[in-house]
Order: sequence, then structure tokens, then C-alpha cells
Amino acid sequence: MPTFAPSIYTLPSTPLPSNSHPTATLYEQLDTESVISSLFTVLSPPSDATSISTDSDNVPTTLRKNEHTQFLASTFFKLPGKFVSLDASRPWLVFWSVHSLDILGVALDQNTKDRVVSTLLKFLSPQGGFAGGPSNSQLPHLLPTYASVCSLAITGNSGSGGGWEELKKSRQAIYDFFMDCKNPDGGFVVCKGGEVDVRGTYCLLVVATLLDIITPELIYNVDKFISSCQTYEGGFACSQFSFPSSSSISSTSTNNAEIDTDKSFVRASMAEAHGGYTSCSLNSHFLLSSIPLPNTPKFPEPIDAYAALRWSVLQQGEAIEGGGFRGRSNKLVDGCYSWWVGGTIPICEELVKRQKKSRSDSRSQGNKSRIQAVVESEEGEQTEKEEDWIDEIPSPPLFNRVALQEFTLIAAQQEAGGSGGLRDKPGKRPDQYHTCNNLSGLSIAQHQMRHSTSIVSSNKEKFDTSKGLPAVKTRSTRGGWSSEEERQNARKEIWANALGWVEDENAEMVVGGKENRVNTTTPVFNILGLRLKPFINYFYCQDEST
Amino acid sequence: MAAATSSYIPLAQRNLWTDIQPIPQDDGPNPVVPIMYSEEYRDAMDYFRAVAAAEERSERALELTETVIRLNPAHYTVWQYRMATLLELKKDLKEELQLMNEFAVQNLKSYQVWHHRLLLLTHISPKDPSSEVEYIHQSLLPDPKNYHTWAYLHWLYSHFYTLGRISEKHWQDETQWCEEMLGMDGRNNSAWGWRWYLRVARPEAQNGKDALKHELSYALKAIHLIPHNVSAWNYLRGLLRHFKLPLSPLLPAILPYTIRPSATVPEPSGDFDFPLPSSPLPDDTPLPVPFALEYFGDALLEQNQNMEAGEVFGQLSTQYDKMRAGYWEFRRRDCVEE
Repeated sequence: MPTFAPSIYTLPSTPLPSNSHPTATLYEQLDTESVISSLFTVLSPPSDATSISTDSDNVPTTLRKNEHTQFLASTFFKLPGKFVSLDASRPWLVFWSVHSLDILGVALDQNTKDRVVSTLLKFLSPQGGFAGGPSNSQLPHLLPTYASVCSLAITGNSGSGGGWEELKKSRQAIYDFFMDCKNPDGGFVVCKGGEVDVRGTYCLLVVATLLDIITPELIYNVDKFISSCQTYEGGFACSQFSFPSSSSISSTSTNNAEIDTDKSFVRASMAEAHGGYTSCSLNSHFLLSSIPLPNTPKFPEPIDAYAALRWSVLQQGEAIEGGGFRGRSNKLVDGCYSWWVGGTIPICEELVKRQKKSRSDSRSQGNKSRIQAVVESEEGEQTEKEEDWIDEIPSPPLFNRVALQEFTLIAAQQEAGGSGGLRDKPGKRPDQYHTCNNLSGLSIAQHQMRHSTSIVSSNKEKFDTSKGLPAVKTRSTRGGWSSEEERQNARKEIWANALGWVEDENAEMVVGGKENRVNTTTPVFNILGLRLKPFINYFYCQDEST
Repeated sequence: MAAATSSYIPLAQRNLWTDIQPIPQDDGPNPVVPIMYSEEYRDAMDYFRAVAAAEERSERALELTETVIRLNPAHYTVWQYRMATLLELKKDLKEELQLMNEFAVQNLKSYQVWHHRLLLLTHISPKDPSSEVEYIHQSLLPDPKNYHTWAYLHWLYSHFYTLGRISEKHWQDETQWCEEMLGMDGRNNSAWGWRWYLRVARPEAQNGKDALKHELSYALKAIHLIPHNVSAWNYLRGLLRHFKLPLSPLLPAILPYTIRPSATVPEPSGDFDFPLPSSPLPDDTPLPVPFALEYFGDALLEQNQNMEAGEVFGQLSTQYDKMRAGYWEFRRRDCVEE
């Protein structure tokens, strides 16, 4: 059987051809290729399968978990003055650290967890939303709100002082803050008077999903905003511009794909495709896709999933640059895109699968009944496993999961015996952000995650609509769900889909041996499944056992 | 210890601030990720909190915000306060723009610097944004792929277009400048993205037959100049997809890049009216070029030659782009399973 994820060490190490036309981009590329490939020749392959060497110098490269733990611990309780540039991003410093430790399987003691919770609660603004630092210093902002809420999912609990109760009490205020951020075209400012981009959308949608505060008015036009950020390359840009539809604009370009079906705006993406924004956009689209909006059958506005997948896999660097991901076409590989791009490929895979299915459904329509596998168990109970016929077909890994792990182990880890931590590329200093994003990407590369239709179905059956927190008060009288039934159906779908991710255990692929294995992060949210479940159950008032 | 060497004069010892009771940061006991602030930063923030709590809009408040921003250009709260104060005091925003010119040089990667600039331009609202365009062009020279700068340029044209202040000459000049950028570095994907906006995505972009043919030719010429340039390939594919055009008619310009032992390439017929590859191809152009093979596979697929297309994707998977072996195998199966 051919390997669909070949090791760097089995691939030719050829530079990007110059086509005898050198430019600045080519020179930068060649520099990076040389810096990375020289490390690969010095260090031995991490793959235990290929290096059954008795040579004592030839030690396989391991994930130096202890060093990385030390690196994170060294800044967690005290940061030197130069970190002032992150003074408005302290929830991120918390998230990068606690999530990295979670991936590494390092448990925090209860005292530290309590300190995390009480610190984060100081960032919670009475106006709703979390600020980048204490709320007596800073305004609430969408990005720290994501980082704080996810950190509370990791370190908090439902008990007194555990942080979740305070979040529960803040749901309405957080919702109001979100609505304050909303623009009519579907974009969100990141804070009062702040910029509009898809980072804000992503952070808001994750939090609104987790806290059970999604309403039709909150997500109105958001799908259109996101889909019009998709560029001609297939990836997504930071933002889009809504041209007010006027006589001067409308006539000329009727076959323009950027044109909105909503006639109030003509939209154009506002820069080139970029890994970070592609991650935010695809994850946002994915979250929106689980929300049933009764009066909007075409919701969410479609994106081109095939193009997004193609763009994403093309960002993976060649063997000579270690198989890491770059963030834009013709830019350099950087370990932070292991998560931004690598982490989004499972989403692309799922969206492509759905697109394929709707294609084949429309083809077979009227022809015969839909393909359904009815599984009868011994006990006589019937479980419909619609669509699992697609789930069952093993697909090849859509990106090179082995190469990405090799990049992480060899190029992204700080040199052994140094400070620990992971980095952009050799020659760059490690930091918390790159440590978290490298490790998150490594987790995606080791574990095959898929969004399972059958699990979503069984989640829906388990969902108890009689339990839940009060509906948030909407801004406009018609901004909410039109009936209680509609609201309950939406809650059920959102909850069932959020918990629909499952690992294909047979497809686990750990380069360098078992000790390199890290915990499994959940696509879209980027927290471990064991953190996601109790947290979201708390806000949807569903039993722990489900 | 540190105080002995510091020449910093605390605000409390300055006449201007004697009426203000500073407010310390409320971090609670034993916070995590505390930052060991410099005396100057802590002091400025203590006074900023007091000023902001009193909603004081004053010259000294502006000075304070500048102090903080210079020490931490990512302090979005302080930026917001500064903007609101500038507006309330009806300050000369052109002066502020001058200050930002200086700031941007050191803080090209700060979201806040660029957003502040965007707000300033919105308020100043010049009749003709040319001098701002010129400034942006200049600042891209040392950093030709700065994402914020390019996004800002997109906004600048979009915003002033909606105000009716972008003339046809503006668009032409901008297109020419963009071509100069691509002439300097045809691999600059940011410049390609800008070309897409100018030629395709913006309202009133020319998308008649001639304009489209011109654009396809432009992309093909770029491919012929640098056959391994992903930016040019993506631009070409983007055009075809956007305008729902078939891939096959351009194959004569593509097939020379697909040469491999398993296949021969037909001569293009005489009436092909698009740029052809240079002959010989540029040095250091190993064949086949994976992008060309992918194009060929997609062209076969569009002609319902699924088996042949699958074969091409199979070759990418097993021989010519093994890094993406899994993806090409997925493409192959997608062809043959239909």
C-alpha cells in the first residue's frame, strides 16, 4: 500500500525552482529552506520505523514535553517587563499556556486553577465580555472573550468560585456586548470603536455557541460576511467591504461571484487569503452551519469548500522546508500555521463531504429512496445511521500528517537543553503563542478527527429540551426565535453538533513513538473534548452522562 | 534599586497632575501572568484609569494616551480613548496623521495603528485621497507583503469609491502601480490579490470579453515568466472559476509544462490566441510543473474524461507532488468513483 503521508526523509529535498527569475520572495524562500533543511540533516529522523540504529548518537527526536512545560511555567506567574506589548492580551497568555499544558497532558494543581479563575474574573467587564486585562483598566473585546471563556472551560468548574457560575450570570451582559459590536452588514467590531475582521466573528461565535446565547438577530448577515471573505485563491481574507448598493454599482457585474444575494450590499474581500483568517472563517461557517434558521433555507451562505481545501493543502511546505505550513501563497512556513491551516483541514474535509453528499443526493433525487443503512441490533432496537455509509469509507489523510509532525519535532522545537518552547522556525525565539499553535497543530496531525453524523443524531435524541437557562433578551422585538419550539430546536442542533466530533482511534499516527503522543484537541473550538463536554453541558443544562 | 538609576519623574511630582488621584490596576490577589511593568508604564496607566473614569477629555489626557501607546502600541482601550478625545477636542486630525506616519514605521504589525489611521482618514475625509495612497505605496516598499498595509489599501479605495472620489485615472494609475509591484516581484501574492480587486472584484471593474481576455493573458504571461509561481497559477484558476469559464481552451499554453515520460504533448494549433510558453523554457524549470498537471487533470475532468483525469491526479500523488500524496489520492478517487 502506498503511503499517503510520506516522511520528509523519504522525499527529495529540492529547492523551489528559480525559473532563472530570482526575486525577493525567492531569496527569502531559499534562506528558509537552507535554515530548515540543515537542521534535518543534523538531526535524525524521529520516525522509529526508519531508524533502527544502534548508533548512540542517532537518538530519535522526541517531543521534549518537560522542557516545554518548564518554558510555560517560567512565565505563568511572572512576566518580565518586555511583555508589556501583551498587556492587552493577558487572557491569551493564559489560554496559550493552559491549553498547551492540556495538550501535553500536564495537570495544574487546584491552587493554580483557582488563581487562573480569579484572575480571569477580574477581566470580566460588568458591561459584558472580557477585557485584555483587569476590567478597571480595559474595555471588553471579542478576542480576549474567547481566550477567557476557553481558559475557564479548562481551569474552572461549576462550584462556587469556579468561574462558570459567574459566566452564567453574565450571559445577558455578554449577549448585549456582542450586539453592541454588531454591524448591519454582518461584521463585528472587536471592541467599541475597534476594527472589523473575522477574528472577532470567530471568537464571538464560539462563545455564543458555548453559552447558549445564539439568536437570529445575532447571526443575521454573519454568514454573508464570512462567505464574501473567501478569495479567488480559496482561502479567506481578514475582512470584506460592503459597498452600499446604488445605481452606480449594480448594473455592470451580474455574474460576479462576490455579489451578495442580499441586494443591500455588494461585497468584496479586503486582502489576500491568509491562514489565520481562513481558520476563523471556516470555523465560523461551520458553527453557523449547525444553526437551523427556519425562514432562511439557504443559510448559511455557501462557501466553496473544495477551493478552501485545495488552498489549505497547498500551504504545506515541501520537504526542504520541513513540511510545515505557510500562511499565504509564496510566504514562508511558520509553526503557528500548523494550527491555523492544519487545524482547519478537518473542517474542509467535513464541508467537502457535505457538498459531495448534497451533490449525489440531488443526482439520485426521484430516482430511488435515499441511501440509508438501517442497523438492527440484537436487542431489536433500530438505529438509523443515515450517511454513515460515507463516514465508513476510509479516506486518505488530506494533508501530510507525518511531515507536519516532523516539522514540529525538528524545526519548531527550541534546541534541546535550551529554554524549551516552540517557535515560528529555526532562528526565531519560542513564545507562548507559537508553543500553543504548534502543539494544537501537532494534535491535529496525530489524531484523525471527524464530525460524525451518527453521533450528532444520537446527541439530538439525548437532548432534554425541558432543561436550559433562560433565553437572552433580544435587542429588537423580532430578533429572537419566533417560537419556543424553534428556539429549542436550535439549541438542540447547536449543542448536538458542537459535541459531534469523534476521533478515529485506528487512524492515530504518532511520529517518533508513543511518548510523543499528545492529547486530542477539538477542531473549531481548540480545547480538549474532555473540557468541551462538561462546559457546554453546564450552559445547556444537560446531564454529565450524555 | 531600580529607582536609583531611573531618571523618570513620577506624574505625582509634576504640577500638571497634582489634582488627580491615580487608580491602581485591580488585578486581585495572586494573579497569573502578571507583567513586571516599568515604572513609567505603571504610572501612566494609574493616571489613565483615573482620567478615563472621570471621562476627562483634555490635552493632558492626550499626552497620557500617547505615553501609553508608545510603550504598548497594542493597548486598544487607550487608542479608543485617544480617538474619542481627539474628536471631542476638535483637534487637527492632520497633525495626528503626521504622528501616525512616525508610529507606523515602528509598528507595522499593530492592528491598532492601522485602525486608528482608518478612523482618521474617515474623519478628515479628503476630497482626493491621492496623498494617502502615495504614503501607503511608500510604506510598502520596505515591507511589500505587510498584510495590514494591503488590507488598508483595499479599504482606502473602497471607502473613497463609495464617496465618489475615485476617478478613472485613479484606477488606471493604481493598476499601473500594481503592475510595477508585480514587475519587481512576480511572486508577491499580496500584489496579485490587489490586482484581483482592481481588475475583478471592485464595483465597476471591467469584465467584458476584451478585459477578461487581457486578464487571462496577463496571468499566462506571468506563468510563462515564472512557471513555478503559485500566485500566477492561482490567479489564472481564480479567473476561470469566477467567470465560470472552461479550462480546456487554454490547454495549449499549459501542456508544455506537463511533459513527463508517460505522455506526449500535442503541438498547439495555429489559431490559438493566447501567450504560449517561451521556447526554450526558462532554465531551472524542472518538468512537469505540478500546477500544470493539476490544471490538466481538472481540464480532463470537465470534459468528463474521469479515468484519464484520475490517472493524472494519481501521478501527482505517487510521483510529482508526493508531499500532498493524500490530497491527490482524494482527487483521484473523486474522479474514478463518480
